[in-house]
Amino acid sequence: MKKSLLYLFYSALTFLFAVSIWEFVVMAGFINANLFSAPSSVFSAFVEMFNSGELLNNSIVSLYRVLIGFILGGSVGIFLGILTGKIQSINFSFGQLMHFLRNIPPIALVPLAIVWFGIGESSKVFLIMWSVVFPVWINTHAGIVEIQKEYLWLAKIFELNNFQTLKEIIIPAASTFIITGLRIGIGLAFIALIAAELAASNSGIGFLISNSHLLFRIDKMLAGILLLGVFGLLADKIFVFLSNKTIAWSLYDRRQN
Amino acid sequence: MTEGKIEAKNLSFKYPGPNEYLALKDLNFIVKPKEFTALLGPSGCGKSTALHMASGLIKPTNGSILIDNKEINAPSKNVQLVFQQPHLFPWKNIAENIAFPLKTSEAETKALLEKYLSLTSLQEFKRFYPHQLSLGMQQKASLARAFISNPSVLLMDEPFRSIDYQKRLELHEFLLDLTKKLSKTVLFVTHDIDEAILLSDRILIMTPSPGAIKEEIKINLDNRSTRLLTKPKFAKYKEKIIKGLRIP
Repeated sequence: MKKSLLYLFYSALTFLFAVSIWEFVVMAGFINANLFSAPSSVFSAFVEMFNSGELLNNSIVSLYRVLIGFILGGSVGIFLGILTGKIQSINFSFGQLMHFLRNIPPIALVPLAIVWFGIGESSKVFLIMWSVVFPVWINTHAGIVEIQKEYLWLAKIFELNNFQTLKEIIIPAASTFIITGLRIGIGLAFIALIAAELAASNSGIGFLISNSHLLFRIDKMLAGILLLGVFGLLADKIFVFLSNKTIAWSLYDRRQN
Repeated sequence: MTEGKIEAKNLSFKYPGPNEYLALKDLNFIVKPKEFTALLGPSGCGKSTALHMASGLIKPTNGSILIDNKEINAPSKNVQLVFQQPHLFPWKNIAENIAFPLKTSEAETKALLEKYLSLTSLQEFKRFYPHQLSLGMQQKASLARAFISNPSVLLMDEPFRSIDYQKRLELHEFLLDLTKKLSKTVLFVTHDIDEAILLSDRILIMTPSPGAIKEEIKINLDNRSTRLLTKPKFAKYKEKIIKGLRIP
């Protein structure tokens, strides 16, 4: 407890230090305040947007898109990882196609997604899903391939059926890899979200940033950008907390995150 | 549960692939029910391969292996295998690991678990995860996991190989006590002569690769314990085995 408080204190101190330097640099006139608003102006914009409800509404929309895209992409990634990890013929055929597809950056698909799905929710969810599927798939696949053969032998000796082997042995044994994939996926989900919302959207944090750009409200743009950082950090922390609860047995929980 | 007789008939195994390798050739032996038999031989002579075939994990290239006169075609709970490493499931605690093979009622599982936790002196550590325990304690839990489903045959593949000498002696005492209390057929693979003499009723000495049985030595020792390691009778057995192991 003491250590974590100290950790929080140092983190807060670092943030405070960075913000003070930023404020000082802008206020002293080293940087043009019209191009790079001071933290105090950003905070004011933040309060203004909060009071108008603009911030909350757009945040809810964005987080909802990330959540849906992440759940769908994560589930598909795990499912495909199990398939290619367990069935060699699928890995040799479909796995290679996946390797090809995973090299297509989701940002390149933004225009196509808009044509296919319009500017509504579907295109955003599709792009987020695309970003999440591949890291989750490749990590799940690696986790399954790496399972020690003795665990699978024990499953046979203990007369487990295929479903029990999957549930009792394969998924737990690959879980640290799966969680790593999901964690990478969360970060990529936010990147895809913003790419999609910046390109064509009428709601969400990306829209808020893009709209503020048209109005030349740098303070609002910065408030939106910083909020993304906060969301990303929070999502990652919540994820680490939940994964530590579920895989307490692994080394994962003893690493400093 | 059945008696637990193991019979290998002209057992041969060839590892396939570009580096084809004949690990075993015409291996014949019988392990009587409730007998503790050691397969002793140099590294690479196919001891572990024979054990994996007896467990049904791999199929012989030629010949067959029978348990209670029935050919082994697939692994089963009736024939348990203990590996060189404990291979406990790291995502389960010690109690969950030991009870893993059981499909009994909750009350029965609890009673069996208590019995085996007590036999292994792991009661205090039942909520610990494997990585929190020493290798010796983990191997004790792995032995308990193998014994708990009451198999008729136990196959042990050098289970104490990675454990330091002093701890190994403790584990020998533990296994002697366990096999005395829960009489089982055991086929124990080792290349440690002391371990083979101390634990076994009979030792089958194998030739270097491709492995076959070269000699059979019966061990008659009373009141088995690690104290016997320094006794003249023990030394005589040891001398006989060393002679037997010598490559012609």
